[in-house]
Amino acid sequence: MSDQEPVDPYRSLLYPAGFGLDESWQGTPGDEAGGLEESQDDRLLKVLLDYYKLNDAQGVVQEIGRLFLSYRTPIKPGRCHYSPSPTWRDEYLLDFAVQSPTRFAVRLHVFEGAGRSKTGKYLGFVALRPPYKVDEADVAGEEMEGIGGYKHVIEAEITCPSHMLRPRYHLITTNASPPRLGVMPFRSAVFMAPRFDVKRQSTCVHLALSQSLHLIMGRFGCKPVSQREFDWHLADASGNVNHATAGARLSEALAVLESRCDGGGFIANFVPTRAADRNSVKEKALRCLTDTLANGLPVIMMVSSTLRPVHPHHPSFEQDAAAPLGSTTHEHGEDFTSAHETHAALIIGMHLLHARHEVPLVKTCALGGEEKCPFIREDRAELPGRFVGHDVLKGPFSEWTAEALLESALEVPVPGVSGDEVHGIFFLAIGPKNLRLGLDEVDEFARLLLSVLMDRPEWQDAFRAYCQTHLCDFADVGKMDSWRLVIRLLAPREARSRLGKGPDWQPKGGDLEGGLYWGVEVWNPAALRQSGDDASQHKPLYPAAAFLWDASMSVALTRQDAGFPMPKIIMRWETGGLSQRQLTPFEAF
Amino acid sequence: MRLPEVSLITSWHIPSHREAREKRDLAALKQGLEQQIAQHDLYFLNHADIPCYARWLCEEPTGAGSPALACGEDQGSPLDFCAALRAEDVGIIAAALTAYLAENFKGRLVGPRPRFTALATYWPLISLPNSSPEADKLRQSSVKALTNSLLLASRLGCHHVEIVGGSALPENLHQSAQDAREAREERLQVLCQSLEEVYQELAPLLNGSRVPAVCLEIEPGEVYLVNNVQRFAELREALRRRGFPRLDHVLLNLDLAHMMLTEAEDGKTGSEVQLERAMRSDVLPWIGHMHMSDHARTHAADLCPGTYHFYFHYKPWLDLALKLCQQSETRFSGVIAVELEACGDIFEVVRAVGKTRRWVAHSAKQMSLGGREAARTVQGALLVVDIGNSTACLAERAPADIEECVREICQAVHRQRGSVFSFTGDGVVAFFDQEHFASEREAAKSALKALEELPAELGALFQKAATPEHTPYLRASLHWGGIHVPTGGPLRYQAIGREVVIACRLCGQAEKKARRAFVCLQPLFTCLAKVCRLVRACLSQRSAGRATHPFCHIAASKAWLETAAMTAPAESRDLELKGIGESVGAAFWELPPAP
Repeated sequence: MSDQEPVDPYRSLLYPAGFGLDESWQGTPGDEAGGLEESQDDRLLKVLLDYYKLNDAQGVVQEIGRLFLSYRTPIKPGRCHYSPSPTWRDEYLLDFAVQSPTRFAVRLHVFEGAGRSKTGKYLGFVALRPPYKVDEADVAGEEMEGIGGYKHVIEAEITCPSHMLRPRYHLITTNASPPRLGVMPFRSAVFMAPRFDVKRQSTCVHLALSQSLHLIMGRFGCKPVSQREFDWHLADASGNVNHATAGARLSEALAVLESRCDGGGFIANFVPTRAADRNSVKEKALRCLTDTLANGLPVIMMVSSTLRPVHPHHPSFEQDAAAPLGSTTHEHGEDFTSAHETHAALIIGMHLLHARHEVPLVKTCALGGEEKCPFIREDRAELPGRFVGHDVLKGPFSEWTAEALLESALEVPVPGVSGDEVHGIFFLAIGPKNLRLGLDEVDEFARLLLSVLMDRPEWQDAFRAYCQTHLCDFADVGKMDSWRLVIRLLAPREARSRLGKGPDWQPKGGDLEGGLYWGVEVWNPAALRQSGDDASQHKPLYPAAAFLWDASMSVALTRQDAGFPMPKIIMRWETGGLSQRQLTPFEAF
Repeated sequence: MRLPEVSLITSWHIPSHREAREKRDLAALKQGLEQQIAQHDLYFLNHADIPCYARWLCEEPTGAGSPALACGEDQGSPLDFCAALRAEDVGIIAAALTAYLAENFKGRLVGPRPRFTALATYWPLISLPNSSPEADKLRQSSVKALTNSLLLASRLGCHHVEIVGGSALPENLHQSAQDAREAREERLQVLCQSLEEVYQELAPLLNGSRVPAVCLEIEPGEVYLVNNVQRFAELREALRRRGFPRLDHVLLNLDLAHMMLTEAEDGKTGSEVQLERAMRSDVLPWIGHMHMSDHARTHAADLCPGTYHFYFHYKPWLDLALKLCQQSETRFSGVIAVELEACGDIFEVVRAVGKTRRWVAHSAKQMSLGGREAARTVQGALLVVDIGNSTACLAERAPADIEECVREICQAVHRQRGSVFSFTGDGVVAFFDQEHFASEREAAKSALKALEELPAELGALFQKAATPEHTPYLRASLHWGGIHVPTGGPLRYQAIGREVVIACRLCGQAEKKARRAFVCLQPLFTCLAKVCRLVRACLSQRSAGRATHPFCHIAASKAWLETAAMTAPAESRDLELKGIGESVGAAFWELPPAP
């Protein structure tokens, strides 16, 4: 190991497990033993030929090249060995027990290439279908290319590309997923590839769901679901096996998530009622999407299969893909024809701070200019310009501009309650068990509640006092737009801490126990700490108000009763901190 | 207290296609043996092992009779290969495997022998419905493959073969409008039918030997047919309704990691629910085998126990295994097999085996705190071998020669499926546990076979060590009875008991008695005929002046003769053995040197 090589505990994965003991081992696939003149593909091919015949090995090399396209770096193969793969286990039992001689997948560890004689950082490992016979007449090669499917790549447990390690990228990754496969932990986001020879309409939804469950299983204890089990449960719910293969709605995915995966979630809907609302709906959706990701919840969004990543382009992306993996058929019925096939994309991260062209709808206010914003509204300025996700058609760590993503979502119609087409932005946020209340709903409820409260003299007085104390303009204190809402998904102890309370504090009523809560903080964007008092520099800055909703609340029921559900806790700023206010629905409305 | 043995399933490592093709060896088994792991569950059949089995068959003149096994050609998938095996092929593979264990084991030669404790298989198409001629052919191949797996188990002295139940789903959800529940029921019935066919085909092949049991593995997940303990009970009930005659041979394989992946109910974990179900009377007596590993929340990869679930999670199951081991009449194999499929890392495997052993020992210690339990005896053949003239010939010249001689004796014992439980300086006490054989008679005869191998193995060594005055030779005794072998504590794996003492005393008398009354045995069975041929060869050699004394003096007790179904020699006599208190009937004969 030369001095310039990275200090990397994963370097052992360059070599076989019994390195040094196995007499038959014929050199490293990395840099140490010759091969300096070999190209990336040659190195890969050399390793893969231990497992595949030439034609298949060449196919695998191509697929791996496609898989790591967004990394913009040469790659080097590390250890390669047979290993278990849950996906292949199911596929083998159900589809390949005759075609393939083994129920184990081939696992290839991959490193960054760092020049001709060095190995860079560890990128992760790829699970490959072992050699198997397939009836070539069934699936033409060009069709495979067209749908972006994979013949051999099953899934890739991979860390993000190096350029996404920069601070402006915020990604949901996990260190819980690699160890379940017996590899020492590293931060990864599993990418699951669609099988090129299976045209299940539910594939993209299933893969997005399964990938997101892997991402949060370490944090929330969720349980991923296999494609067959996913379809099984779709069928089980409807009682019709055929139904399972026709496609999957987000609502159906949510039902499987809740019933079988020890998970929960919510579907956020943003539907413009008229063309003029389009921009405001996109901004709302963007805000909600940003906050959802900021809470560590991956998101599945229904987009058009024509959505292109920012960079890099793969030649096949330019083709007008047939996208048989999408959910179109089921969403629209057999008669539906559209230029835009519905497709589920998984969003796992964002690139904060945008360029004007990336989010044109907030450019003026965010950057000053025509509206002459007196200060930077971070709730708008921080909106991400790009989102990062795993698109089963386009590859892992794809990047989309916010504008392109939201426009794409608006392009695809979904059937409304009355059966006619609806254009809107729909996404499913994946979270812990019993999460039912949506962030979009909490935002809406908080704004409604705030508007009610601001009509009350005592609350007006309190807000005015808050602004006076924190040196912000209170002329517009009664306008909703003067306030910024920060929404967080909180465990009870974290909620207490946020509210400046002790670990054992209980609200009036005393039932802040387990579970999760949506905490809404009402901030004035211009609020500052008091000046001239040295001691005050160290005092915490509290929001003007705070609300706490039980995240397991079932909205549909409570909405019927009271218009919107009351939070469990309502707090208002007073000198010295937050104090709890009790409001009954009757008092509030 | 009898502790469960801990074995390793050989599917922990799958060599690459190139390595398998070039080496034609059993890589996983070999590495395990080199790491001193003596007990293995043979995974039958990894695709990477096929070149090795094919080589064995092709090297044997009577092997590879099936066209599918033609030497030098592609032997096909594991299913094709296994289904094409004939009974003779299975016998060849069994013999080669037994020899392979003895040759490659690098652990201590005293203690439990290297052996296969059970077989693990994967023939999931055994429950495939007869939806097309191709499907039925696949199911029939699976039936044949399982039959051959059971036959191989019998030949290896294993009594448990683990299988999976297969899929609960139709092959193609697009085309099938069949209700999923009906599909599950249909496949359950197909599995019952397949099991009936397997045992019908197996019966004539076993010639009355003990019939191995199939142990159904529980695979977590709704797409699998047998995915919890309740489903196993339902399978047995379905078999009972069909009048299945071998109901005693359909057992449950408890994969402890899978238990922890099952569905939770009513505030209980999945493991607790399954344990409760397993303790009921329609399941408990039918627990046959256990697998041990760990999984992280999902059925991903097998991991070392203690990675995500810890001792207290496993303890109730380990206690169950211990309880089953203490029962005198049990269908439980007495083995917990560590399963780290395709983990590929021998050091991780050794860690998992070590941790499981430690946990078992700890559970046993806690369980035995309540009081002293009766020692459990095991029945089998005792073989005591001692080197005569060793002090004069071997010890003075080279202790290494004695080491080599004793090693050869131990390996000969291992090749015949016996264990060496004591060294006696220049000899060994070996035991052939009847549980490891298809019948008592086979166990008894294997002890004699081990002895018969020794002239060829030791002849050259003895010639090298001979002095003008002295030549090394062997004294040996054969006896049958029950002995106690502690599986834990400071005397772990030492043979203890009255029968051991008798065998040792008998060995001491072998030479003296044989000189007084040489017996020409009148064999009734093939192996004794071989003895006589050797004796005649010895006599003819003697007459030619090439040998001056027999290679080995043998004393066999009446109990052993009866078990081996051999006629007592005419000049056998009762012996008064010192300290035994009663006379022991014995017969004496000699083995000549190898020609």
